[in-house]
Amino acid sequence: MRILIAEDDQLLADGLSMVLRDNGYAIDIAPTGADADAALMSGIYDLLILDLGLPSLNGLEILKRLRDREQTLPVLILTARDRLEDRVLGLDLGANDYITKPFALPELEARIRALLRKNLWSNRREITFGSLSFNTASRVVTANQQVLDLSARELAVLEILLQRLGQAVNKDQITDLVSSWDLEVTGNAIVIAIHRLRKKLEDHGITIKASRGLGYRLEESS
Amino acid sequence: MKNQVKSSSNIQPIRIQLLSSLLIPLLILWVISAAVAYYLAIGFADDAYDRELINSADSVAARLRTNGTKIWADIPPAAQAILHYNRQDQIYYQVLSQDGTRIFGDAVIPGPVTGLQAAEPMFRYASLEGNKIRIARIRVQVPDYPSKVIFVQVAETLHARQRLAEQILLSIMIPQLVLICLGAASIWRGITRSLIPLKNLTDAISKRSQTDLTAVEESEAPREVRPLVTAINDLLLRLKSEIESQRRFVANAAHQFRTPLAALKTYIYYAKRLAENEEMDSVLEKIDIGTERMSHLSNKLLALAKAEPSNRFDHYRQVDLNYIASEITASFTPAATKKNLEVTFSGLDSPALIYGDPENLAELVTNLVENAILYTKPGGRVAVRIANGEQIKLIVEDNGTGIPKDEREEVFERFYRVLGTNMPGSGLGLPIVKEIANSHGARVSLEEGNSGIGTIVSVYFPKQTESLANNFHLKA
Ligand SMILES: Nc1ncnc2c1ncn2[C@@H]1O[C@H](COP(=O)(O)OP(=O)(O)OP(=O)(O)O)[C@@H](O)[C@H]1O
Ligand SMILES: [Mg+2]
Repeated sequence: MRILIAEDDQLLADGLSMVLRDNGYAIDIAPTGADADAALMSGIYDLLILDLGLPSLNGLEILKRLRDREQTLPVLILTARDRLEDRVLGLDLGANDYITKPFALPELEARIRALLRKNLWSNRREITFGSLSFNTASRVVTANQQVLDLSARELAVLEILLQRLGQAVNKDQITDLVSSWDLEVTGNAIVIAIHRLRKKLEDHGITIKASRGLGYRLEESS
Repeated sequence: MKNQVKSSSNIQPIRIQLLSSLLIPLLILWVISAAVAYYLAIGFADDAYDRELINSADSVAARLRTNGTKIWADIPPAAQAILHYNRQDQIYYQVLSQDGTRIFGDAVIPGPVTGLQAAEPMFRYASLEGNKIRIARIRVQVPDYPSKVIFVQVAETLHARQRLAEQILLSIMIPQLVLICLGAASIWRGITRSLIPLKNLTDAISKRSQTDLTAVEESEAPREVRPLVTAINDLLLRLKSEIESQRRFVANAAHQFRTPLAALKTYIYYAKRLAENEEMDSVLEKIDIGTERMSHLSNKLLALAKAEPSNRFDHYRQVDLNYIASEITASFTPAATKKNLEVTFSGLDSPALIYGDPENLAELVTNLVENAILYTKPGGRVAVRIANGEQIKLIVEDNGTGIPKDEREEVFERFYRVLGTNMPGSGLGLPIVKEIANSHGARVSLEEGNSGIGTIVSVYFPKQTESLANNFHLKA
């Protein structure tokens, strides 16, 4: 899952991306408003974390343009301003949530999860596939009531496959979704992650099927 | 701002200045005119009385009799008496021979007798027994002996002349003085009247509260004072923008802290995840607490800056204190549960309408409830109530540690904290409460709880009707 952080403070942006990458998200950082606007046009992001006080193009303007382009990705506003009007204005312009600096990280994580769940999982708390079950809130994967120990990359890939159940996702798509500008994930790395996932899932009657030219998809191995 | 500026002693009030600059020259002129008038009056009096003196001399001359060798005056005693006691003045007469020796008459008229050749009557002043006298002398031909010449000298004291001169003088000087006085009075009134706008201006400015920096009405000031009013307004404007920029500075500074603090917290969180041993964990925990305090301080500073007067009224509207207080109290239930405190709220059945800034009011309630929870030991209780009466009352009561009686005023000072509570805090909570209460026209009271345990903080808000609200706005 790919998140864009539009934040001009590099220290904060770096810290956030470290924490969020650790959670298995792919993170890009846009230090100016113009950068953020340009990056968003690619349409590859699942979530935007937006600081309102950005140089060159302010956060509210980015938000307005985003919604004018009819892009529906969830937006979490992150700002030092906390007057009610700022908040209301942001939400009116189509932001989905609002958190003021300095924030507690667990809260930020919870809100990100909630936003993603709402958008990607249509608010479903639990996605099940065969014996596999994925908690969209805690992002914990269990199979036969047993918690699977997955790396961040493996979790990211599995999430992508779970989002597109019944549908094949090719390697390039997956690569796009899990990599970010400064962390180019190679096709090879994806292949390795899928290989590891297969290993961990095979005991639970689930496999990842590769069809040539189409890509990967989850299947129950009868 | 009650302390009056001491008027420096060498600057007179305008009224006195104007009046004295008019009156002093007038009075000097008046005195000069008195001197001139006196001199002229004496001249007039002399003219008049000298003529009479000549008349007297003539009547003496008309009474002269001669038998060729001897000369005498045939003046009946009654006439003599009249002559001697003419009005208020003593009259003397004398008949002198051609060479100036006395022939008969009063001997007391002093000499010297000079200028006997002159045909015209002669006048001179002299002194007799300490009184000034006027002497007139005429030249007379002896009846029946036309070649023979004698002199008649008449003298009189000066009382009548002086009286006349004084009367003339007074009749000129008194009306003048009256005129000057009337003029002074009307000038005084005029000055006073034209200073009324200045006094109104003074009243208007001195009645203001220290936070009222709106411009002074210029149109009411007389034109001469207008530059002063303009200058004052200019100063007020600069002062206002200075205060505003100070406040903005604090707010901005507090804001500027937020992003680095957020970054710091992010790294601490990440480091905690990475930490592999307990020691590292506890160090990170300490750093976390420190960061938390800094966040707290910057939040309080920001709240204080927002509560300050120059920010007033921008966000004012009619609000329901019931709603605000219950929302805020509810938001503290997790913290209270964690500390095993019982928190209750009881509001009014109807909305508790007051006129104010909802965010600042929420801040006020937050600080009071936060204190009550912080300074009450586990197992205690905190009660938030709204009560109706002449005013709308917000009461936050706890049965915690309480505030010592002699510190109940100091706790409203910025950064003041009661020693020994061992609780984290910045000492800005109650100052924020006071500031917000002030800007809402509310009063804060702090008492000990029932039976001397704990604290009761009450905030009395004025009830807000629509008209009052407008009024409040206008006063701003
Ligand atoms: N309900 C209360 N019970 C007992 N003591 C109190 C109570 N409220 C305030 N105090 C005392 O008054 C002091 C000042 O309170 P104030 O709220 O201004 O600052 P603080 O709580 O120390 O810090 P801050 O509110 O800025 O975090 C506190 O240090 C505390 O000792
Ligand atoms: Mg406090």
